[in-house]
Amino acid sequence: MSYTPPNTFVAGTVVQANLLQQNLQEMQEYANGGVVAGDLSTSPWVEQQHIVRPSYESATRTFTAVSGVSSAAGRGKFLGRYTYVQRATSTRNEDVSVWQFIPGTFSRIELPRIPKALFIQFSFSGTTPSDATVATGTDYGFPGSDVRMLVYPGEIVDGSSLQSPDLLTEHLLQAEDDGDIGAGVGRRDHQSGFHMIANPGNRLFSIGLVGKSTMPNTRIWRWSVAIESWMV
Amino acid sequence: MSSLPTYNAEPGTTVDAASVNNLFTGVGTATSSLDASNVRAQGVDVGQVEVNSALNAGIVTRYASQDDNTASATYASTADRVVATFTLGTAMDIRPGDVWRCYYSVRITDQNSSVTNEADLETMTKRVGAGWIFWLEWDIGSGYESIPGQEDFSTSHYSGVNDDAGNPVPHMPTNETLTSMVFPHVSVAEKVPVGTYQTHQYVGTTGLGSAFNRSMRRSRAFHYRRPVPSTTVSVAGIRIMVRGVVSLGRDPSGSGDGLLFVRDTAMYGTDPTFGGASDTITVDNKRLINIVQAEQ
Repeated sequence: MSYTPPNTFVAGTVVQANLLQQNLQEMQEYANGGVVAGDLSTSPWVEQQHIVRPSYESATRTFTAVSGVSSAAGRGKFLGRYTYVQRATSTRNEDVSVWQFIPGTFSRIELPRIPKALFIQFSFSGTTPSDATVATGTDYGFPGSDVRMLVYPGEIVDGSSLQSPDLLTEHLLQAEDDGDIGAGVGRRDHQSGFHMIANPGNRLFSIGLVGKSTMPNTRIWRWSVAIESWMV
Repeated sequence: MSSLPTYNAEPGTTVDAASVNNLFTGVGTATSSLDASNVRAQGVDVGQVEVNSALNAGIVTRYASQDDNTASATYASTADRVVATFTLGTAMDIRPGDVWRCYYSVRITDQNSSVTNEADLETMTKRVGAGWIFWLEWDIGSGYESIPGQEDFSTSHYSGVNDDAGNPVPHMPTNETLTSMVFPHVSVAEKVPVGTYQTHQYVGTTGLGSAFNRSMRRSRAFHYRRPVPSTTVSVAGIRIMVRGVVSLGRDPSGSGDGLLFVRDTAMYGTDPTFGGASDTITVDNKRLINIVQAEQ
């Protein structure tokens, strides 16, 4: 509520100092925490210079502004730094059912206020070489590698946090036996997709790639993610 | 106006009650409608922004939705096909000046092979230069129709796009493909004497049966800004369309405009390796994301 003077003075009467002081005191209290949202003009008046400058958090590579936050991470075509989804970590070449961490692909974002939506764009490129141990005609994705994007609400603390990747961001990097495409021939593919969460809450999200594979190696040689979230 | 009143009593004059009262009531008036003159530069931070305000005019992101359709279906060439219809739970209003950001993706299995034995692929003739084209249509109250900047296949965009028999060939101008996405199509045929082609065959294969029918995800993003001035458009639904098999061509009149024409006409009866009902594409796991943001 706007400032309202508690006392009105009458012409021809003596101005009492305490009444004058009350008016001034009330004004002081209004200025020191008495302003409420209803006192703001309802006509749009906020201009660019009124908005606080955005801040950048280098640890999570998060850019926080008034209307929203954004973050991005990526690895370009730097072939000396492959990351892998592979069977080596499980020593299994069939019936692989556990999603595994794909190192170097995770990004985190902290949402400081309750957003309306969290929006993620991602892409990655992978190569799966042919392999003499591959048998054809089995279930989809196997032999081969299945790579999906994981959007996990919170910190990745153990393997169970990785087990619910999004189906619609997946890709199968299937492999073939040497007889079909020739020994040493790789299958290269580029994937991209989008994911949105409405009203995700103000919390930390861990975003990255998980995979499961029966292959000696499927190389993920390029990866990028762009994250946006809007609070208003 | 929210400037505070000023009142400076001159020395030697008598201060009257009305002047003092005006001072205080003026402060009350000024503080009832605080605006830009009362807020310093960078004075508005996240904490001052009401996220769930009823005053929607200040909201930047006005609409956000994600719709999935995991159904799988196989479509043959020779006609426009509806891949998925997304009826929006809440109509999406795009006001003049608003930007509509649309993102969609599909998982595709391009099925084309005249090969019964995959090992024979290395001896086959591979034909490229054709593709499947995906695009969007919206329902803004009169049924599904083309989105601005996006045309349908028709025989009337350019004259003279005819087959050998003089019949018009459906085509789409390449400068009207705002929302479209092309997925390359590879066809194979047996090596036979020049000028003679085997009838194209589709051979259903599963899993690793064909080197050409790997499932893969493709995505497309586009932005549309509602013109100013114009009217608010209310989008009730969006659907993903597909047509194939198409190739790139050029306006025969010499304008230089590009076009995408369908390959399922008699014009290519002597080269059946593209087009026709034998070419199919399987589409599943479709996703559509819509975001509408206000002009700032």
